[in-house]
Amino acid sequence: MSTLEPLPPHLERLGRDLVSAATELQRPRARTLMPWPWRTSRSLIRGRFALPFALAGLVVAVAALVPNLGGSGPAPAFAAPLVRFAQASPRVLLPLPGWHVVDANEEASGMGEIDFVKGSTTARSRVLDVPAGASLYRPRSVSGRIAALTWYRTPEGGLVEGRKVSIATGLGVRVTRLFVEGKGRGYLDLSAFLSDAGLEMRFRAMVRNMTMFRQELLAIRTVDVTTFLKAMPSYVITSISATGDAPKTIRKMLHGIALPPGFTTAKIRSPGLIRDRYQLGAAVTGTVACIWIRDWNHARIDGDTAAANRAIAAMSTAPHWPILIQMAKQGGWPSVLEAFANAMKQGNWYGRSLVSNVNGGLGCRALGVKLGPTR
Amino acid sequence: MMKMDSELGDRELLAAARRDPEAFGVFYRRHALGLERWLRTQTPDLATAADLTAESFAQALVGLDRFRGENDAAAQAWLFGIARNLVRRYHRRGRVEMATCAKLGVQVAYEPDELTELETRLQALGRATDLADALNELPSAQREALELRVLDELEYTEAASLMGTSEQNARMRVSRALRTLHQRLQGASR
Repeated sequence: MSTLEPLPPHLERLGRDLVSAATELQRPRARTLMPWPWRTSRSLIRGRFALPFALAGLVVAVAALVPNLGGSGPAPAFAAPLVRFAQASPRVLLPLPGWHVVDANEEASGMGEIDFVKGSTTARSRVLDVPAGASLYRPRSVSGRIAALTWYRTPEGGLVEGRKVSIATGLGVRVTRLFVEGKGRGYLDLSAFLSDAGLEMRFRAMVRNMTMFRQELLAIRTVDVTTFLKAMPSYVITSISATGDAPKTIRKMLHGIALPPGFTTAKIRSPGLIRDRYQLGAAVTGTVACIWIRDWNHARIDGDTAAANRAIAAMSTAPHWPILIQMAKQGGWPSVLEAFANAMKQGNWYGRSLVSNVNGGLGCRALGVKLGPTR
Repeated sequence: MMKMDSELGDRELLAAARRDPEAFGVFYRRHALGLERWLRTQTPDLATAADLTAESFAQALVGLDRFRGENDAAAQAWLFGIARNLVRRYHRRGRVEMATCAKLGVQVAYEPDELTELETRLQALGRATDLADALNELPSAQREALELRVLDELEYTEAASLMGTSEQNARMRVSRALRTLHQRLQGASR
């Protein structure tokens, strides 16, 4: 090897950190570094919502799968929020023997997920939507037993990544891209991307081989609203039904929050479909924060120091917003939002554009708030 | 470390790094600047390139067990392949995801002045690495085969299935890609 160039200081520091981390990895330890593919999938897509924390609370009470709601008689009458929920989703099921839905959700941004598991689940494992007996850190133990369909609609383009392929599915459309999320001994973690009727979808599954993945893709089916809702676990039905009075819940959540001029609950996008209090709280506080940051951004550009300072002052009260105090017990959303509030005082995000980082961090675009120029 | 630095090739370093953290340090020292230089050409600012550099090496570190390349070119292709994937994700999502750095407790810290100085230095150094160029110039079928096998770590049968070709053909494409990279890198070092 020839003589190496000296590294700049930040790379020197990074090198030391990496060697320290490598040293830590050598030590005997519990295998906590193995990414859990199931929730990794969710976090990669959702990013800003700490759903796993919120799910834990929901799961305690209900471990059983949904009973046969309809039987062979007339179709059951589902509450309006449930019907809206089903109509907004692609209503895809995986009707292979032993497979069932263990979770389904939709966020304010029009993004959602249906989680499938083959075999039984237990109260403990339901927290993570994994089959009973599966090991958290051994993907091979869930190979062929878990899958998820994520969908979203956005004008910005897709989640699509990976390599071009053409694979048949049971939906009548073909997979156009395939991405290898991970691989190890005895398992493949694959994502297939497809589009149908204005929805972009990602079918992700842990499988033993490509043949198994193709079989699962061929098996997925779109079903009607009733069939879809009958396949939902009981706690999904219960929690969606409970959001029938979302506007009232939102009004309570806004209590104690410094609201931007002209703010109304109508600014909060699709609240009726969010069935999780933590997510609803994130949508509500995120929308408020995004509007304040938008106003701050425009005021800076216009040279309106007073308006900019008003926005800064309003956001500096975020640590005292009651809903954020409650949410802090469940996840990291409040700390993210407060970090952006602090950065407004500096005018930048660690030397970079605050606006562009807020867009990614709070998902303002998905919440329907355009922040304006990024510089 | 000096002995290791002067004697071991990249493939050997990655193999040794599974047991010896210093070996990973040597591999890092060899490629950190080159990778960051290349990432700088793919991203709007050096801060982003620095973040992606950190995440690339962090992913390489936790994925050492999965590296199965057979020569130094494969080792470098593996590292740059990780970085290429991260760049793709960055462009698609509009932000750098630092999940692996976070898991490892690795932070990217710098003073703005440091980056300004480095920016000047990188501009003076000019072109990005030959390896990145060589990867980009491979025929698409070869590059895809190399990525599936070396970056995605698929078995040849699985890679072949994804490409719609035979296992033998997949092996041939990977072999040709590696040979091209090897020749290109040897030529660059002369």
